[in-house]
This record gives sequence, structure tokens and C-alpha cells, in this order.
Amino acid sequence: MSKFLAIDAHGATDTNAMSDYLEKNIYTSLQPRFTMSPFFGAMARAPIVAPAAVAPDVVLITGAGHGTPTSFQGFQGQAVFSIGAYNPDEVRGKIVHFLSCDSALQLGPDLVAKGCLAYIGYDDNFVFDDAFGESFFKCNGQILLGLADGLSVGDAVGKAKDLFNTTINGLMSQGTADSMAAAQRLQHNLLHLRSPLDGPQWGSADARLAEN
Amino acid sequence: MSLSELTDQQRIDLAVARLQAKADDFRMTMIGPGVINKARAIAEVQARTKVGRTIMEVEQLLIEALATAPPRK
Repeated sequence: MSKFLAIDAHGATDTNAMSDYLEKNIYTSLQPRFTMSPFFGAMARAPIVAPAAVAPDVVLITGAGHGTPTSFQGFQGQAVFSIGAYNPDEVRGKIVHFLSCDSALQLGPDLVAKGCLAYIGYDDNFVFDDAFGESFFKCNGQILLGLADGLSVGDAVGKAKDLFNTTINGLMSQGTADSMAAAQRLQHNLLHLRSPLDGPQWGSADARLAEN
Repeated sequence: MSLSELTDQQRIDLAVARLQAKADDFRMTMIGPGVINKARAIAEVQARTKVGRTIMEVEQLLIEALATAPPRK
């Protein structure tokens, strides 16, 4: 069975919230079709992740953690993937999706230039609030659910964008100050979601997860 | 005057004014910067940091959404 790597930094209030959601609601939904290799907390470090990532049966690398334009960070802010500091075999032929700030700016295109099939992530700060946090993570998680259902990257991201818009409209229609503020925070994330639908520097929209 | 016609300083002033009018328990969380309270939000906007730019963008989206929303009955 094909594998996916789940890399969750944990260790801080912001990353714990999204990692908890992913681990309870999204990764479990992927596991009937794909085997999960978890790298959570102290395991989310490059020396531990890299040997697993090069395995040919790994088709997806995903995770939640801090990010910069040039890196995705794991345990205690240590870079797991950083431009110039990873083996291209770790990403070649794979789809990569990170829930982190900024990493779609330079890291995503760098991974694609090194052979990654498609990169999906955010090119600015990912914003959320405690009251509506699960709605935010659910929209992002829809990308992974679509991929696991066999959709192409383009279709999976399109379906996730539909969920973003439906959720934004729902929050706006609630009409409270808090719900409308949450709607615009979600809108901000949608505006900064980057994928092959935005250009070939993020890979191929036709890519999809291979099931073995 | 529309939002697009505002100068950078006017956008900052507008965002700060809106933040000052928010409840004292205002919170926004960003991956990395963490939980941002009202005082920090104002300071980040005034200092023109990246976090401040993100806060300004969210505020502008909210203003635009309110400006185009159908009138409530």
C-alpha cells in the first residue's frame, strides 16, 4: 500500500490546534487507502524524516508547522525541508502539501523544480481564530481528502476552494461581528492558497496520488 | 473615496482605528506569530511588520465585504 508522511510539529498553541484536527479528522480518513508514517513532535526533524521520505512507495508528504518562504519547520522550529538542505529524492514523484505560513513562496517552487509533482500550501500567514478554528482546518483538510479520493490535484484544490467559499458565505450569513471577522480571515487564507492552479511553478494540476 | 485610493499611511490609520474599536478580548492566531491580542495587533500594524500587513489585509477584506453585502432588514 502506498504511504504518506504526516509531519506535525506540535509544541505551540497555534500548531497544536491544527495538528490535533489533522490527526483526528483528516489523517484517519486517508488511512484506509494509504499507510501513514507519522512524524509528530520530536520525530518531526529532518534527520528522521529524510530517510523515510526517499522510499519509493511514499506518494504524499503533508504536515502542519511553522514555515518561512524557504522552509517548512518541525520540532522546535527545526527545518524539515529547507531550500538547499534536502535530497531531491525525498520529493521526486511525490505530492507535497503543508499547512504552514509562507512556504509556498519559494520552498514550494523549489520542491517542484527538484521533481515534486505538485505543491499545495500558503504564501502568506495562515490566520485562524479559536472560535471557528475547526472550520479553517476543515477547508484545508479537504485538499487531502480529495486527493485520497483519487481526484487530481487541480480537482482536489477546486473542491477545497468550493468548501472555503461555502464556509465563508455561511459565516457571513450568520451576521455576527465574530462570524464576519472569521469569514474574512478564511477569505485571506483562500486568497493565499497556492497550487498548480495558480501556475506551473507549483507543479501539475493533473497529478494524483498513486495507489499501489 | 474608495479603499484603493487610500495612501499606505491612511490604510494603516484605518486599520488601527478599526482595531481600537474592537473588544478588548480581540484575538487572531497566525501559524508562527501565534496568538495576537488587540495591543499587539495595533503595534504590528503601526510598525508595518509582515504580521501587521496580514492584519491590515484581513481588515480590508472585511470592509469590502461589508460594503458589498446586501442591506440587512
